[in-house]
Amino acid sequence: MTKSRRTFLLTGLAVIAITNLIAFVGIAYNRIGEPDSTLNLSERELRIPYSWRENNSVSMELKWRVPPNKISTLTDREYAWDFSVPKWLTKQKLMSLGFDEPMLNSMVGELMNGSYGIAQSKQVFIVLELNGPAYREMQEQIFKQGVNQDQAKREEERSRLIAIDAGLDFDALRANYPDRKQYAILRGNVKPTTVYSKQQDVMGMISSIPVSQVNIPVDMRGSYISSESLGDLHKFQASIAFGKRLEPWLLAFTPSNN
Amino acid sequence: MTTNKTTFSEIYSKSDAQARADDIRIFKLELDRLLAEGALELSTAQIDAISSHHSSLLSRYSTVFDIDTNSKSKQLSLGMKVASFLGALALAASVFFMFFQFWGMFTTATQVTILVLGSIISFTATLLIQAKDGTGYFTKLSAMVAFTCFVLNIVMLGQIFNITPSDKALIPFAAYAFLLAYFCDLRLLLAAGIICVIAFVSARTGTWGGMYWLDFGERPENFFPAALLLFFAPTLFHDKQHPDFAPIYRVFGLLTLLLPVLVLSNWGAGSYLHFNHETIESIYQVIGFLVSAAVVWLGVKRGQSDVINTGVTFFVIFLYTKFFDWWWDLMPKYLFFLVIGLFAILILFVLRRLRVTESA
Repeated sequence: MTKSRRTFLLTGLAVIAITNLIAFVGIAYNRIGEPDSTLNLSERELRIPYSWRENNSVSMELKWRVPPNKISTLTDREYAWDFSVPKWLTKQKLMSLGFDEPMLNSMVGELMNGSYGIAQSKQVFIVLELNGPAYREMQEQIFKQGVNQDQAKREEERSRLIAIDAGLDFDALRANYPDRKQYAILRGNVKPTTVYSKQQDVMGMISSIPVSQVNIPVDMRGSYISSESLGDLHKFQASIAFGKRLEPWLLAFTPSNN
Repeated sequence: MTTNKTTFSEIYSKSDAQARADDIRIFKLELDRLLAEGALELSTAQIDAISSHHSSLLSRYSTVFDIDTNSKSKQLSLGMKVASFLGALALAASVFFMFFQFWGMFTTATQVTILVLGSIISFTATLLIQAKDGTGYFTKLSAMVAFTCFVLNIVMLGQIFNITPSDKALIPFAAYAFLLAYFCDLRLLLAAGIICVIAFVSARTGTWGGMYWLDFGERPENFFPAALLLFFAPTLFHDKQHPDFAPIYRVFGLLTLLLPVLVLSNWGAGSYLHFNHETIESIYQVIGFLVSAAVVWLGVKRGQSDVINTGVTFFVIFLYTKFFDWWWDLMPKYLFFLVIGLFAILILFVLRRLRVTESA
């Protein structure tokens, strides 16, 4: 083998080896020791997304909601990409997350003169609360406003995972929400948006939580092999752990058709 | 394409050898005409010496670089290039979809093993094929499969273990693509590497501006640093062994610069600038005209046809976009297209004048 071929071979193998090694070290670091949080979720909080025919991998997607600014939207949204505006993500909160006040003020002016542009998103930590005070408050408000039987039934099937806070300091957030079985803190993106209330105002919306899909390994699926067969599964319980890098993995998956 | 390289030792690459072979073929045709027309007289010994020298050169080029020695083989080579390009893309897509079809049936350990081994085996196979393949076409197929396997390796690890998406993954993708491109002399893999560099530099620029990296496309100005890096890379790092690579860098650099300018000239809302959106669009329209004209001038000055063509294309696009803004609603459609056609004729006259000036 010539010297150049040997160099090519060794360099290529080194690139493959080092890249995989970095990935595995990150995976191991995330899962080492006690998870940052562990949530016991159900089909209400986890959705099996539609998978195209040529893809037989199976994963679940977190379904989370926000306490919205306007009560009438509570019965409308169902999926993880709920774009309603959390009532706690106010202009002051956005400023505490590092958004520029002059920029936020100018957004209202731009909206008024029809030259509204795309606001820039920012990565922060989002606190998700499972079946806690925020969820119970939302339930009270829904039933107080009066709903019919169908709406009540739909609400009983909706997610109990509610986004209740955001911040830049992970340790400070964890100190405020220490219960690791009820509160998960994940990386997410927020961006300012304008709302139509009594006056034009700026609030924030959670545009995405990037790592919200959880792979289901084949040895945990039991008799359910594909996402199509899992689509027939109406009820299940899943225990999800979030590690040091706030990346999730599945601890247990228990189907139930009861 | 012609070359100024005169001796065998100055030929470093297949494209240089092919250019010299083309020069020889054209020289032979013209020499025959001059002798037939009586414009030139050469003795039999001189003609034999030239013929013998050319035959020897062509034989060595053919052996070392596998070039086309006549026009028929050149046409066949063009067909092989198209076939290998389409074949490379199709094989890469096949690997991608095959993996998705079956991978959900394997345990995690098996999935990881298949991913890593796939990268290693496809890379090693590329090395072996490259050693045997004088044409380079089969090497291109194999290298594209190897690149796809490596990208799948990392992306699927991310999906299996729910890893946070990161722009840093683009660094090994680019490194791997460049390694394959430079060792195997493959412009397709060079383009793949360049695209990874554009994405990484633009994403980094976006994060330094405070945004989430995946949203870098929301601000087209994020592409400008990558554009400058690519355009000036061949000037800073002159590579004699891959003369075909410099135009790729330049064209991608210009596309990475001028496409965002075109977008911003019609969509001021996407700019970092805090002006009225119409003002931003006007600014970028002016920048678009000036930059594309400057690119044409630079291309003419350096004798780089790829730069000239890209500059002219974008100048015309900016011009026609402006015409559309001004006249589409004002004029009847037949008149609008007549004006466009007349301007195209005007541009032809200008370019012909430029060509005559350059020839003189």
